Amino acid sequence: MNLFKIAWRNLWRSKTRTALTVSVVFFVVILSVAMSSQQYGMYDNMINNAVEFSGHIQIQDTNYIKNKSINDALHLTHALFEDVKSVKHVEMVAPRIESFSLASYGNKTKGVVVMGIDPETEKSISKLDRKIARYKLRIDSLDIDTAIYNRLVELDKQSFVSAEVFDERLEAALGKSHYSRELAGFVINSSEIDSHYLERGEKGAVLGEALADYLEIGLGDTLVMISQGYRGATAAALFPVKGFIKMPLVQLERGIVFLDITATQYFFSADTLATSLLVKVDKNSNVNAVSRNLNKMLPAKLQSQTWEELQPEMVQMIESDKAGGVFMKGIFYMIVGFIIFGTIMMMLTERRKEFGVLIAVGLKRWTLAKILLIETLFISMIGTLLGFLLSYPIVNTLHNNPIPLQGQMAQVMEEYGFEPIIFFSNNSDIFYTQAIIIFIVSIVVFLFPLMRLRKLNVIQAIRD
Amino acid sequence: MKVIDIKKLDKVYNDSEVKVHAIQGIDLSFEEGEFTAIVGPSGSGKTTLLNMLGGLDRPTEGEIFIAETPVHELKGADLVDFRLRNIGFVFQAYNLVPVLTARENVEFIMQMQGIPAHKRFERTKELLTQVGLGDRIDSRPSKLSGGQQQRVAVARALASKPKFVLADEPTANLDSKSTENLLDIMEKLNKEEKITFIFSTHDQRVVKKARRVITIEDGKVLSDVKK
Ligand SMILES: Nc1ncnc2c1ncn2[C@@H]1O[C@H](COP(=O)(O)OP(=O)(O)OP(=O)(O)O)[C@@H](O)[C@H]1O
Ligand SMILES: [Mg+2]
Repeated sequence: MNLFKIAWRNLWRSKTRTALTVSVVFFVVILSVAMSSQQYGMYDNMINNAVEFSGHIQIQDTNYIKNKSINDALHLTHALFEDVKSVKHVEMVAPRIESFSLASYGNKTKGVVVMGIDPETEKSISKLDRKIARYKLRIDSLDIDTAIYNRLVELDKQSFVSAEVFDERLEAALGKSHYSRELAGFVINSSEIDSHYLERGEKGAVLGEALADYLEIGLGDTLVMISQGYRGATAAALFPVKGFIKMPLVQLERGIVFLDITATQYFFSADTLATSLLVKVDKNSNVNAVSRNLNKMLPAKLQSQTWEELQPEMVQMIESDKAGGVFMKGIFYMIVGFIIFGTIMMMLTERRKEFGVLIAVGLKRWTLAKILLIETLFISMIGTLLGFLLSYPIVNTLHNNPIPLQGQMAQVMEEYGFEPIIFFSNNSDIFYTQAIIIFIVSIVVFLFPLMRLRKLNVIQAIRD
Repeated sequence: MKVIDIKKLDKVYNDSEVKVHAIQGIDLSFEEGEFTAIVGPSGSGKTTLLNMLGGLDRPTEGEIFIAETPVHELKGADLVDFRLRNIGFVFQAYNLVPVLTARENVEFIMQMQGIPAHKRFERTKELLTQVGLGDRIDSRPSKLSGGQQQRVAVARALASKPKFVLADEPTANLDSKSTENLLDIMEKLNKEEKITFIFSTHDQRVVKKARRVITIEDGKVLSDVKK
């Protein structure tokens, strides 16, 4: 007779209670998996966005770190470039020159961040080329229902980075019944715009789409930029608009102009200067080591910082959000703990006589405890497994299809600097953690019944 | 040969407010092969006496020797082990694990006693056949009558080939037919297998079957009659 078999049969002595306890575990697992998945999905997305936009590591002048002024830019030399590139695990190095400017068109003016980039190397770091809005839906250019148009706008602004995304959105907005490949093809074709990514050395500007909307500037129009250059030089220039770019964060999109780095250096009178060198590392896990090695190797006035050091607010925000999640889940687990505890106590109480007799005839208390423990673990692990069975497909689907927020909700998220999309993580750690926590909770709540069993007075138990 | 020898046995319960002197200086001995009933009014001390004989409870004063072993001196795991190997128990109720079949109930205890699997199976069948349940070995207790359940309990008590079997009012929950049946089987085991039985009872019909009747009252032996 195997103890597992006995424990298993014991579970079905009170079917309803077992089923109830299992379902409590089941629901708590689903709830906490969903919660963790959403939390970690959000963190992952924030981190990905941050790393994608700012690189794993940035090398800057120590004064620039303090002042964020173009006057503290570093000298881009071939030697520096090669030195950084030669560090193990470094995949790509990209210079950027960043400062501020007034951008103006017609009677609209806005203060913007000017980001001078090397269009080629950025392709593999920030992937800006894939963020260019290639299609823009204009109501006047199309003979489609205004209701459909409005739904499209609500779903994803009006512009799309690729025909595939556009098609997807059209399908979602029109619904399966109204969607036809023909209509979609027509809408997509007639919405194509001549929006381009920058080319090396080109004197043209790529604007955040929201900024272009604000300035009411079109493709091919000329953007006027006025600023102060390196060491107080006057900076003024005209840039034809080459393209519109979509950024994950609207706040960023509302005030950013990308230029080619050479054009930017010329504009700011800052030849051969850069404000930072972005470094892409082969694996996330190597970032800290690479940054340490860079700091050992770099001249004293240059400093390497990882994305975590560059974005301390984000890291802190994630930490405090995690703590909040831990608190909520702690409450869930306490509920589970109490329910399991109650169940074990009931199992123990209603079988007192049986246990008394069995101990009298020679069963060791420890054997009884093992049976009771196996029963407890059966209950909690069945609940956990069922929870996984249901939550995994859900979380996985949500991971592949994040939920875009609409209307006010989206606005609120954007105001707080978040992408208005709910992301979900399907990382297996989420599941392991649940299983381990439920397991530990079961063991902990088992301790008290175990003590009761140890102290069980056999004679009393038989007499009662 | 003497299996049990008790000397000046005393038991005082003083865990509650009133002190109860449940057993007061009893001297008794039991021979191998006895078929003995312990009788007496309710509260006279039958259960207390049997519990001490079985090593489930500890005497306040006095000595208990089982096959020359001073049981009153044994403690903890040694006592449990001694009980497991030398004494069989049948209680009034809740004797069996409800989720195990008759066979599994008997076998489980043998497994706990460390008897190898191939021997367990044979012995279980033999024992259950001896108590007249050869055809019900795969029934769960809930499918057996009260009398049949008690017979499974007897079979289980015999699993370890104990020196004697203690049964505290084994027939208290049984109707007269089942009572008679159980007693017949115990008697048969006593005669054919030389199993020593010591049981307490209120039932006169059970008393009649006993070959020795010890009457106790207020924790003292009132009479000890051998037929
Ligand atoms: N754990 C205990 N604590 C206090 N007193 C007890 C305890 N167990 C038994 N007694 C008392 O000891 C005395 C003997 O009890 P015992 O159970 O041995 O009687 P009994 O002869 O078996 O009675 P019955 O025929 O009703 O089963 C009674 O007065 C009883 O109240
Ligand atoms: Mg009694």
